[in-house]
Amino acid sequence: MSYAYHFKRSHAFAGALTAVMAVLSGLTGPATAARPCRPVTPIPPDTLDIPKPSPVKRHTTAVNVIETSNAYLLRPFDFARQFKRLNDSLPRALNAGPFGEVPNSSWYTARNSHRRMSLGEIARGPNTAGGPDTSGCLYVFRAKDFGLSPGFSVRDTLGREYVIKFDSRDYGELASGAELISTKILYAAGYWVPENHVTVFDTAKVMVDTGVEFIDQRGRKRTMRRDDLTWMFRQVAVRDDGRVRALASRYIEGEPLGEWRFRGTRRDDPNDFIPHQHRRELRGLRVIGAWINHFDARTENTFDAYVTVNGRSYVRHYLLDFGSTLGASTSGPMWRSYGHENAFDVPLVLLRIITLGFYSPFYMRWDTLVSPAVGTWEARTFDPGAFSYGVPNLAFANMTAADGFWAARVVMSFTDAQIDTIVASARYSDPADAAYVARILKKRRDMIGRYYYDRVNPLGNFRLLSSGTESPELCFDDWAVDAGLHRGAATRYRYAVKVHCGCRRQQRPDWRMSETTCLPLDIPVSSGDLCVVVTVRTLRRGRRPGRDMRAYIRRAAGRGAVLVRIER
Amino acid sequence: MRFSVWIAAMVVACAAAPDTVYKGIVVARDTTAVVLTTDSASADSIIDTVFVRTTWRAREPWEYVLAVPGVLLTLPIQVVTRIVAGTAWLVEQTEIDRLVQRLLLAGDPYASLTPSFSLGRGFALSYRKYRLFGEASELRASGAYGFNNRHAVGFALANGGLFRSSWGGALSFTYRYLPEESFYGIGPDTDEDDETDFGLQDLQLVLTATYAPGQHFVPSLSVSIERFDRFDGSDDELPNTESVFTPEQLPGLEGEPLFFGVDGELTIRSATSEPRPASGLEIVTLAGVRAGLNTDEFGYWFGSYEVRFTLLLPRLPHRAVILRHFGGSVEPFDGREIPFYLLNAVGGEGTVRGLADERFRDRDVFVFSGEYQYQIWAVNGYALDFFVFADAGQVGDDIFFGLDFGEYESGYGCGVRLYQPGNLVMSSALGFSDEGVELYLSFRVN
Repeated sequence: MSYAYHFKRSHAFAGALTAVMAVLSGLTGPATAARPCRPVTPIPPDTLDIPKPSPVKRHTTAVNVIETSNAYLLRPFDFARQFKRLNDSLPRALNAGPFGEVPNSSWYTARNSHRRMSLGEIARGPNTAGGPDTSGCLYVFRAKDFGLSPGFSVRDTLGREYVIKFDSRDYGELASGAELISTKILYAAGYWVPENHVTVFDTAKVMVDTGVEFIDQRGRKRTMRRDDLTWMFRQVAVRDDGRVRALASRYIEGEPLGEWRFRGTRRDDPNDFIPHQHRRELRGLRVIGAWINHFDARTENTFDAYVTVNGRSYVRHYLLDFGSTLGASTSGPMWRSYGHENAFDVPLVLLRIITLGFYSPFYMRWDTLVSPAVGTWEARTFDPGAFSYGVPNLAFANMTAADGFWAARVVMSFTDAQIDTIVASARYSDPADAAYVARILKKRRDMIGRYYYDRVNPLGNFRLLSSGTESPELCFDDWAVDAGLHRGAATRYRYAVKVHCGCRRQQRPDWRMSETTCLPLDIPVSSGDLCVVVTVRTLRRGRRPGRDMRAYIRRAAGRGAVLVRIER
Repeated sequence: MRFSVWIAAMVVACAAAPDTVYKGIVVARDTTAVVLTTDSASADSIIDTVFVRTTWRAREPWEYVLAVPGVLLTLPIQVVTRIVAGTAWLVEQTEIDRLVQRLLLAGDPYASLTPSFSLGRGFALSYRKYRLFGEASELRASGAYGFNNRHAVGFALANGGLFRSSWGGALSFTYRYLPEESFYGIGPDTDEDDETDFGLQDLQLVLTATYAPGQHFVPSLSVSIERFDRFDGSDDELPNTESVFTPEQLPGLEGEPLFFGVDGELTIRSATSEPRPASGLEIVTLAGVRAGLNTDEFGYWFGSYEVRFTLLLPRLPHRAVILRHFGGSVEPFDGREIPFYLLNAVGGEGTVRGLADERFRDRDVFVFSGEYQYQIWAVNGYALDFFVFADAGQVGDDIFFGLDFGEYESGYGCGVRLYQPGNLVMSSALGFSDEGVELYLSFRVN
């Protein structure tokens, strides 16, 4: 469904009237259906200079309650939505490009999936500098309330500010390792994330600034003292050499504006014109998050910052807090049900009531603690399509097969060497732990690829090759074969070329077969504009035929053919 | 109206920038963005942006129509959800949870303030101050206010490990004011339509000595002085007990008896003291004697015996089977009498759920209860358990010969218990019996 209407000044008023009439008549269906070869207007940039929006405080518990109730009460009884789901026609992502790509924006920047990052770039991730300078003193200037894990904010001697998060006493390296790995994966995948570093420092070099407000164990607000730090260090993992390993998360540049939601738009941000539930990168986060077990992807762990880049000030949207990923759940190993159940999974609760508590899902029977540093990270119970997040959200619920495929393509873009490099940067003290973490990441990556590539026709990189003759060839890559998920020798492509006449009665397709990824097209010569639709179906030996996908080619009179868009 | 504004904005935009080319219009949910540029091929040449608020129609008209039944169907639950979300918003907005935490002295190792609530007893607040004058000394003060103007206050001073031994002692004072108590008559055959009401004040001073060599075996002996004052009930819709029964029929209707009592109690416990039931056994036996001090020739003089037996069958993951038995008897000595409000009773929480509170009264009581509790949800220290129960009980005038085991009053039902960090337990249950449905709500800090 395209909501972009392209027109020039001379047609402005007519275009406006058309748009108004379209809205009035409720015809909000695919604008491309009538004219499939019309060029697709690119989505305008969302990094225009805007005045600073007001910071917001999202009431995360309320948001979680509403999102959960919407998932279990509202959406199942939205019969129109259920009808469209059954019909596999949930609305397309609004910011998907003509070839399924996601344009760069304040949300997303195509990185590893666009151009393979070097191992150096992968290891560096979002970091623009090293971690905190631990050769000098670290000054605590802000205290964290007593929560799940102890922590505080420090300023190093170079004036850089970091949030320090510790591993819990019994699970050294667990949360810091998981957060570092997930940060670098999400950055390479294209999201905006904070700079995170694994750092080791001497606790004697940590000083408390004067007047740091602090809420103690008794809930009293008072000035932080040195003995509060001593108490804190007793709760965290200390290395054999007496120093402490922690994750240092650098303060995000720009002015904080609060969290963003997985639905709607921010009213005071004019750049935020695409509802979040219709952004492909947010829908696809469901797949990428499943890869790294990021079950805690919710509003609470997001962040908007008002940044200035190249003289333009706009809102950039971040993901935060990955301490509950891989096998970690901030202060300990990830609980077995995480990733398999929502935080309040209504059907499971009802099932347990009805079965008098005897229903025990298979994942609750695995004892999956690998080691204190790795936690419960595993692939045995991982089901890419059934991964559940703590709090369900509308963006994830809206994910279509095409969104899933896009995200799986991002996941599959990570090579074994890149994964090894990312895991090595987490500096696990036991090489066996690092090897295990990397092995499971690769395994889950392949499971995701296999799952989502089989749900669409996994062809991409479409291009027209013309050798000067009248009829060009339509070439593409079979990404499932390239990823080693299927054999090229056992794959055939069935295709049909059809001229779109715009009439009610279309011509019957003339099906042909090809063993290669270049399909010769016989586009008839015509004096007028032609719109040619090429339908491709991938057949693999021993498997059921996959889904059709279409390529739309436009040929203006007297000009060459242009590939306009694809439809998956 | 909205569309005319939209068109007007378009026209104004055209007039204001006559040399520009419209790159496109993006109709989004909340905003219509008209992006103006000098060159449609380059995003960098955007010179201005006009934003017009409008409503983005994500759905077609038939979808709205089809969605209506679902909206109507889920409306009540959605209203409840919004209220819950609104409450959560309020809590976060005002940081009321932190305030409550401070008020409840959370984290203070030397004091605690714990609220509790139950539909039957009302709201209560209990304050404890530890290590007052010794390692195991404790001051307890509590107050309760319930529906129908019920209220109670209590103070207790306790000290364990007296003289570095296993002996401990406690002195407690309690006052209760119960203006609307129900009374249906004595015996197992009373009719629920015969309900009357009476009021009662109760003042109690108890001195207790406890010997606790370990956690599992705790004998104690206490002496008490207790004064009762019965008065007319304040419920205008029910007849007063005094107007239906005569003092001859119902001992205790007249006078303000003052009792001297001696009680012995023995607790044998192997069950763990964690808030969620796990496994183990608890037996509490109690025997006591009460003598009226201010009535003619010691008009009241009786003994009471009680056995409470709780068995948790064996430790199962996330579930427990709880069997309870309660047997009690009050026996007058030498042909004396017992005030009707000190008779044993059946009905309500602790006996037979589903019956009204203290629905049946008589000298002796026998109650059996079975409960199966299992976890249905847990996350981050929170756990929600569901339980089903069946209770049966009967009163009679003779515990061995006066009870007809074939005619037990029974109740059954189900409920949920929410366990939260900080040992806060919230419980809600529905009890069903032949006489109707009773709702039980409570929260307490273990």
